Amino acid sequence: MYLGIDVGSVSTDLVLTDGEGAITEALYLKTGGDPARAVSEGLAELGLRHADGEILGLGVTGSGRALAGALAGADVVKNEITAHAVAAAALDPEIRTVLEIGGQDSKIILLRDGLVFDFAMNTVCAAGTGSFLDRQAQRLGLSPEELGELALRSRSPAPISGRCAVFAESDLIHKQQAGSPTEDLVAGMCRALVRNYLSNVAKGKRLLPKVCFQGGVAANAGIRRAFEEELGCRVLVPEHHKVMGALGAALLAKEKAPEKTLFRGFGDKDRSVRLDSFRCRDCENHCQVSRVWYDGRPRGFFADRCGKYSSRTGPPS
Amino acid sequence: MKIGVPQGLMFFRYEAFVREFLGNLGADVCYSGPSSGETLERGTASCVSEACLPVKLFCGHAAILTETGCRLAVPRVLRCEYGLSLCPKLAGLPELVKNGVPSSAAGEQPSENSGPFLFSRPLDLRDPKKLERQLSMEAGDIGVPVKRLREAFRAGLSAQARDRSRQIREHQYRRRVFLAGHPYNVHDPFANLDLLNRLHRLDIGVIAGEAVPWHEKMLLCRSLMKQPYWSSFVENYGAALHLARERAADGIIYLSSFCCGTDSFTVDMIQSRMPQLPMLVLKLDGHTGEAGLETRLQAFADVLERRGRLAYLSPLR
Amino acid sequence: MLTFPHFGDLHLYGRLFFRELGVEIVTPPPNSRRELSKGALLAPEEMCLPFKLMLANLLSAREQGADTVVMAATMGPCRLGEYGELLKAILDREGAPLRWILLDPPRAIGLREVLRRLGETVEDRQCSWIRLFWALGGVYGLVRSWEGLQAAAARHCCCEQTPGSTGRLLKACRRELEEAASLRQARRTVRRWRKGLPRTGPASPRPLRILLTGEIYSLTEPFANHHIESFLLDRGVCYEKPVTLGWWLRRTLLTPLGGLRAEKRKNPALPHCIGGYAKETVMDALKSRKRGFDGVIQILPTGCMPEIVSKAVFDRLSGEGELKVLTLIFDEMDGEAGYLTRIEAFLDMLEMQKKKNGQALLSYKEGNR
Repeated sequence: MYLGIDVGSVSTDLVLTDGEGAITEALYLKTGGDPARAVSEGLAELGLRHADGEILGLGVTGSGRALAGALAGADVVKNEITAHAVAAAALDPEIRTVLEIGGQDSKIILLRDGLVFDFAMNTVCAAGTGSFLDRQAQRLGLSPEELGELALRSRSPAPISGRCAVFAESDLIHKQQAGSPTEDLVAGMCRALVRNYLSNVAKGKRLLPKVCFQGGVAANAGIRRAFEEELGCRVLVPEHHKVMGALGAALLAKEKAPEKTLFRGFGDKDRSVRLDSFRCRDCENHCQVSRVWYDGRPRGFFADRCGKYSSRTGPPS
Repeated sequence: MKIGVPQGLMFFRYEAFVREFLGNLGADVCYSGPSSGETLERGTASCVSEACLPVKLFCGHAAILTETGCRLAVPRVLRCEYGLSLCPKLAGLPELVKNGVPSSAAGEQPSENSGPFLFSRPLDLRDPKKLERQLSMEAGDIGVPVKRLREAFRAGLSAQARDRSRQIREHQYRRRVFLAGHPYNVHDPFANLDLLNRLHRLDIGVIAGEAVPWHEKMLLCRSLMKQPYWSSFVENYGAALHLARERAADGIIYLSSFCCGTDSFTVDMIQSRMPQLPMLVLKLDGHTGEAGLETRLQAFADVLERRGRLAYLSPLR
Repeated sequence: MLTFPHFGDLHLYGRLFFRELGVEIVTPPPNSRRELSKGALLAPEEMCLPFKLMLANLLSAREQGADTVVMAATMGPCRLGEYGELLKAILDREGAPLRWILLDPPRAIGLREVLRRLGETVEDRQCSWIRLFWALGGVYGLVRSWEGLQAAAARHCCCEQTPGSTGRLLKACRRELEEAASLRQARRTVRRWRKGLPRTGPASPRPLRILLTGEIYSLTEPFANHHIESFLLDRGVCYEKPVTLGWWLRRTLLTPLGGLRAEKRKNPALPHCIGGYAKETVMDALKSRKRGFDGVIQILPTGCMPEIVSKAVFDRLSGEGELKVLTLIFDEMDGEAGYLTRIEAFLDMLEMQKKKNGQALLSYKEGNR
């Protein structure tokens, strides 16, 4: 079996796959500002049901991939764009467009014959991301799932400007005070987010069917419907849309097929994990090198430019 | 052939010339009309996203005009009168339009040498003779005799010289401000959210940079370490200094497009030269709320009122 | 005491040049986050990143005792040419005035004026014109050989034995150059290190080749591009960077006709010079495909006017699938992670396409660190 870990800003996902794309087990945990904790807890939970020897390879991805790689001993460390593309292509080779909206960023990936053809990623604007939706749901007193359900009930979505999170919010407040019903508000918000995404991230790109929508926000039925309306075609949301990045990482590990995996085992729950960093003064880069401590011993390093530390692995425990 | 003229960018400076010149050609001319919400929407969709608002508006005009089947006039002005330069984006305007509005380039291309647009050969406004030659190269494309084009050119020049419509100097209000900025921001009521009328309602009159004679402006730029090379810099910096010296203006309102390269420079040069003069910088980005603008204008009017007329009279360096 | 803002390796060359003439100079501290925030505090918000860094450089240099600035300038229409003016205005306002010597291109102010200003830099040292020209020639030779070494490293990094050795070699050489006592010694240093480079040509399964292009300051100053070059070097990705300081010197100062010659070359996508080096950027990218490059990475600071036009051209070309272009826009707000993700994904994409086309196998080492 192959293991994939996706450490994102909002969630940390772990996936076990048989290597053919079928998911044996998937975990979806909140990162909650402590990615090292989330990874080790996720691993410990999988360790309750699986033995270390079952794992033939580990792939990590997401914005915290370096950390996860240093902590768990990864065979492949890949960026999330490639990971998402690989997962989508394995799911259905006919997919030609991947929409991915995560907590802090949004991406579009165009595939041709199962290979990445073009991509774009937005990290600057908050209006097109999941955290914007969560914030607004919170403001309206709804859970993110309710928000999507509610949006489907709207007959006439309120016109809301989607160019910028700040403007969208003030627009939303304004419309709310003008007495628009909540379902029209949330539907308008979904449409604004989708338009913002299409005009910023997907600008000038040809989105051909099949379209696959993945990432945490894909659970939101309102956003999905808004995409279908704007694109004029069906938008596929895979069953495991939340963990597609982790699945992709696992598949990449399988593709690499390491003879002996670097995976350090699942560990168990009560091991202590902590992070610290020090400044390396060996060259003018003065990198702030991060160090993972596991059970009171340094286990791995990352964030050094030259690879002097990150190529050095701690003793297996 | 129908000539399509997008009413954006330098059209606001050379409108008199353009109308007279094209009118006398006897060709069928189609103007895109004043900017509107639709122009902005089309422009945002068809222009590189890093461009500023006026360029996006121009692309919007162009996108709308292409649908009427006109051949677009997209001028490439490399040098202004007196040999000064414009923003590089204006020198590359044909490329921005061609690559942003793909259908615009698809039309007929009568001769091999010229691009898809009219007047896209480099234009140098320094020397009327040279400009005449450059323009008459297009005679064949338009399908008019060179002689008629030359006559129209001369008529256009004298119309431009006669034109006083942009030399705004309003005396009938209680306070007066120098309205600085590019002509396409100052004279486009859509881009600046009808600023002139808003100011009039606050009993503030406007002086435009064009109202100050050119040689005065050039003279005041002499004190700089290096001769400036932007037309808009001389226009605004020179006029601001001149009006302050004459005590003709109580303050400056600088209309700047968001992310404008020349403005970011000019604004700070004016501020560091005349720190005492009240100055309000309005950034135009196409989605500023009207309410925020009104508040700021009112606050600025109060500042002018409180300072009275004699506050900034400390000697100029 | 003379100083000048950072511009890639300019401080290396400048120090040796002026030392040759017996003039001591102040080298501002290297660009860093802290320096940037110092500049961003005083610079206008929408000014481009290079300006903010240069402002910080000059402020720090003044604290270290500098009183005169030498700066090369252009005649626009890009902002770089007006930097001096605004820098002066801001420094005066902040109570840190400096004397300015602006080296405009000979085309704008005449060769005689350039020489006069150049002479001003050494006025308090009695040094002969012969010595000045000799030093100029020597420093230009150093620029060529050092840039030649870097270009060779970028060509050969894919066939290095131990990963990262090329990058370390360049770093060690640069450190030695920073301490070199004279021009002559510096040139010897470069020659010696050059021998340390792997001699073999690119491996037979042709590796990934990238063209780095875009705005000149961001390309030459490692801090302004998040050290993209050492990232590529360490990854073993071959790249070529045509726009360098030496290229600029050749083009602007040494051959006044060079600009005219470039004007004559035909560029179907951007036929006229619009300021900055946008025309050259597009030209290099168009040619890169024929020359066997797999992709283009374009780098620009936020709001760079000429490069926005070239980005428009690239957007269309990559949309039509004619060229693979990754545009990286750098500003001070963004963290590094986003850039690295994008660069990695871009390299992955090129790699996979290449595999599909059956041209080559895996060539750059995967980032499984």
